Order: sequence, then C-alpha cells, then structure tokens
Amino acid sequence: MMTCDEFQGAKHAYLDRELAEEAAKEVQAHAEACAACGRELRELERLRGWLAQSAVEGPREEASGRVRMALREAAEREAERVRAQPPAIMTLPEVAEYLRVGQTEARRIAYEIPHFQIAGLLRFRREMVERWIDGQERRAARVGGPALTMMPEEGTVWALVG
Amino acid sequence: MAATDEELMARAIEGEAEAFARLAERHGGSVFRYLMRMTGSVEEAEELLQDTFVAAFAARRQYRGAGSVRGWLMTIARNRARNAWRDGSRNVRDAETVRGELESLPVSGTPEGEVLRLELRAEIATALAALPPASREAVVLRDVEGLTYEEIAEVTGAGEGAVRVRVHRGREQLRHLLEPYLTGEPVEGERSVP
Repeated sequence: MMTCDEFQGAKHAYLDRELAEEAAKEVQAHAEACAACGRELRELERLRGWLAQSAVEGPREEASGRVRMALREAAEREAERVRAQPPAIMTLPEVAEYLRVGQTEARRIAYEIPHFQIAGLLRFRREMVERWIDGQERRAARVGGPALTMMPEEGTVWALVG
Repeated sequence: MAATDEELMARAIEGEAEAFARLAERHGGSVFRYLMRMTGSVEEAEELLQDTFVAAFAARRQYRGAGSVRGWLMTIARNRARNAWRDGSRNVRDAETVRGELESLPVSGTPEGEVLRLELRAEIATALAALPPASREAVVLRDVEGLTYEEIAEVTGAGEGAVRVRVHRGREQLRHLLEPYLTGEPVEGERSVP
C-alpha cells in the first residue's frame, strides 16, 4: 500500500498520465483509502480539467485581421525583394542591365565571365557575374585604385581609364 | 485530411505565403492566450501576436523541424514579449476587470455547451495572474495549452526538471487560490478530464 509521502511524490505524474498502469492503480487505491489525499487528487484533477477548458478565447476579429494583413504585406515585400534580384541564370541583356552597361559593352566583356550555352544561347550564372565584379574590384585595388575621370560628353558618368 | 503543421511549414518555406497564413490561423489563439496571460493585457497581447507572426514568417527558413511548430511559435512569442512582462506587478488585477476583458473576446473551437461559465474563467485567469511569472508560464503552457514538458523546456530555455517543479508548484498554488470553487458543485460547461 502506498504511503501519503509516496502519493505526494506520484500525484503530478499521475495527473500528467505518465504513470504505468500498475503505478496509476496504486495512486487511485491510496486516494480511495486516504480521505485527505483523495480530496486533494479530486481537486487537482478538477483544476486540470478547468485549465484545459479555459483555453477558449481568441484575439478579437480586428486583431486577427491585422495579423492576416501584416502577413500579406510581409509576403509581398519578400516577393518584391526576390523580383528585384536578378535570376540565378541570366541572359546577356540581363547581364548588361545588371552591370548598367549597353549590350555592346556587355558582349565585349562576356568572354571574361564564365558562361555556358544552351542551343547556342549565352547564359551566365548570377553568381559568376558577381564573382567577376569582385575580381574587378580586387584588381582595381591592386593597381592602387583606378584612374577616374569625368567623361565630359557623358555628363555625370564616371569611366575607367586604363 | 488537413495538412499537418510540418507540411504547411514546408510549403511556406517553399514560398507559399498562404500556407503560413493557415498556420497563423491555426495557432493564433494559443499564442494569443499565452501572450495575454503573461502580459496581462489584451491590447498588448494582440500587438505582440502580430509581431510574433511577422517575425516567424521572416524567420521561417530557420525552422529546422526539431521541435513542434507550435513550440517554435511560442519561443518567438516569448522573445518578442520578454520586455513586456518583466514588470509582473501589473498582472495583479481583480476578477471583475479580468471578466470584462474575457467577455470582449471571441470564443472559438469549442462546442457551446463545453465552454466554461465566464465567471469561472475569470476566476481562473485571476488566480493564474497571481502566480509568480515562471510558474504561471509553465502552467499555462502545460495545463492550458497542452504542451509537453520537453516543449516547454525548449520554449523557456529552462531544464525539464525545473519546468516540472514550476508546473507542480503552480498547480498547488492554484488549488489553494481556487479552493472555494473546487470543492463546490459541478459548474456549467464542466466536463471531466478525458
């Protein structure tokens, strides 16, 4: 027969349905035999039932609406960012646009950027274009910085003079 | 059959925003109640609820599937709300105020006959508010929202043993606080524990 001390040590595990069948029966048997422990167990069980049943309220409809709206906006912002980033595989016009140069210039530098062909069409990985830019920057740093000059006929456009 | 949380999460990570909205729909009540019990304010909980889901959406690719989606959401809610519940004193309020607040909230997901009488829900909420925050949090997550001890340990960053002690102490305190009701006749909407 379980003692009151043992009951005290086991009651929460009993409430949490963590005890094996035998051990749970011992707790029940003690609760039936001991008035004080029995009352305690009944109250705790009732309390647990109430607590579980008190999980009923939700946010007000306006608040739920605000959550939905905020999530929609967050998703749209994210989609916008994805769109703003060039695709993983780029065409020559996309490379030109990305580098902010004309297609003629892009064609001239295309051989410097690792590329591949699909049915005769030039394709570039965005990653490779970015690496090429990194390389250009490193080279510029090595030679002590590029000579920059304002090209008068192009107004504000800066050009590298080799 | 409804998609599981993990399926919805996987779809949200692939870029299906609607799948994440469904997760928010599914767990909004749980996260809201947790925030409300911890901050003691409906307005604050609603605001934090929005913060939580926006932060969770932005961080969804960091969900590794180690724990439950709900536990993960609760962890984010907790991080968003930590500043709000540092000051525990304002949680002590009378049952009448709490009752008014609860009355303003929609009740959902439970058949009408099984909803506990508002007065009793207010007494329970008031008793919960009187617990020390760590105990209150543990009892709310375990006995109200039904998380496992392991999940609660993950959410709170405490050891599982410490969580158990908090839950046990919280239950004992609640029993004393609610004694007059617990010894009374069965109440409207009450059903025995399954």
